[in-house]
Amino acid sequence: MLAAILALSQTVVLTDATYEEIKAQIIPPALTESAQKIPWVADLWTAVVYAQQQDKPILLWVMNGHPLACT
Amino acid sequence: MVWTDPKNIELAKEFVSAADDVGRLQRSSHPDSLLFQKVAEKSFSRDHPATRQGTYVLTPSGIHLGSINSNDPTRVAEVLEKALAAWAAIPKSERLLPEDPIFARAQVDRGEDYYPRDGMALRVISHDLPREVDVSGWRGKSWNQDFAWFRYDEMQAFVPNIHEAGQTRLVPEAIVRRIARLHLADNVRGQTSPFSDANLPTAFLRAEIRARAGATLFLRFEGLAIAAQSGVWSVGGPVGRQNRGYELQLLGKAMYDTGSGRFTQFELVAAGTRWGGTQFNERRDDLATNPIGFYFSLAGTSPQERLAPAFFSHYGWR
Repeated sequence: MLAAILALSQTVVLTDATYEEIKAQIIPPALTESAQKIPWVADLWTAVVYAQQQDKPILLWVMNGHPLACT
Repeated sequence: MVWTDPKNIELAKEFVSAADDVGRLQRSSHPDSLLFQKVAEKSFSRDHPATRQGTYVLTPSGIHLGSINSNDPTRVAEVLEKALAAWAAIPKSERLLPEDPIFARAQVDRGEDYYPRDGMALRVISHDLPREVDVSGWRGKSWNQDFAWFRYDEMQAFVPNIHEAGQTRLVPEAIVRRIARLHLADNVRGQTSPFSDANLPTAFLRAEIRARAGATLFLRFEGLAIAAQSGVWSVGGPVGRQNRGYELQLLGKAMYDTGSGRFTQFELVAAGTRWGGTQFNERRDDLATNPIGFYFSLAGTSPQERLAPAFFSHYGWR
């Protein structure tokens, strides 16, 4: 089975010559715009500390996996 | 998009905005998790205990002000506006905690607490590579990111011991296999599961010093990682016989400062093919062998770039 898989996998050839092209295909056009436009605090308890100090409500965005990293 | 909507960006200025992983908040008994669970019990998600992902508005004291799980910017904005009105109607003595919450931070155990300050943190981007026939919709545009951490000694293990051009070394197997198990699993469309050591017939990475200029070493990395797993699991549907895996070539380059003992540049590309899927990685319509790529590069030091690896619990650092 592994041999068959290897045979199928020749569509991408990573070499010094193709390195920059493939790298550019992996990097998305823009990293999360949301992270750039809203100053997200990366954990809830730090937000609680800030909200207590600033007397502000907390807007909490939660996902399966960290919304600013791997979801 | 909810959080690129101009109105919601403006509304967010009225809050302390936080993003977090709901899984830990649902399960642990640390102060932040207990606060979240208290709020969630009053929220839209009280009847959805499996996953409580969404948007919540709360007071530091744990009063639920509003919540929703929606991709509609208008509906989210309505919740935020109503929550602000509710906040204003609550006396300060009730909306804040009686004690400064900073003192409870020590009771919150997060992966981020183990950030390798003297080591190396890499951002890992995953993305499908071009195919003969483009995939339409969001699946065709998906990408994901994670972080990979290395302690000081592990970071040094990417550099040959003798700092001269032509010197080579194999990066220790334990490090490469950790990368292969935890950071080359297909998460492009969504969360996945790590591979086990038994799923990796091959994983190696060779480092070579190509040149030296003063205190700077110029390195090249080259390697291969292959994973294959068979078993019985769900791929977003009924449990059944499944296969998944990848075959990836590894190639990279780096600049290492022998004075500071740190990398000033580090990048590694993993490119090849993947196949199969897992329960939540949205590959049920894409189980065939198709191209995929990963790009590792030095992460910054902002809090958003010091997030723990998704599979940090598998690092064995705790």
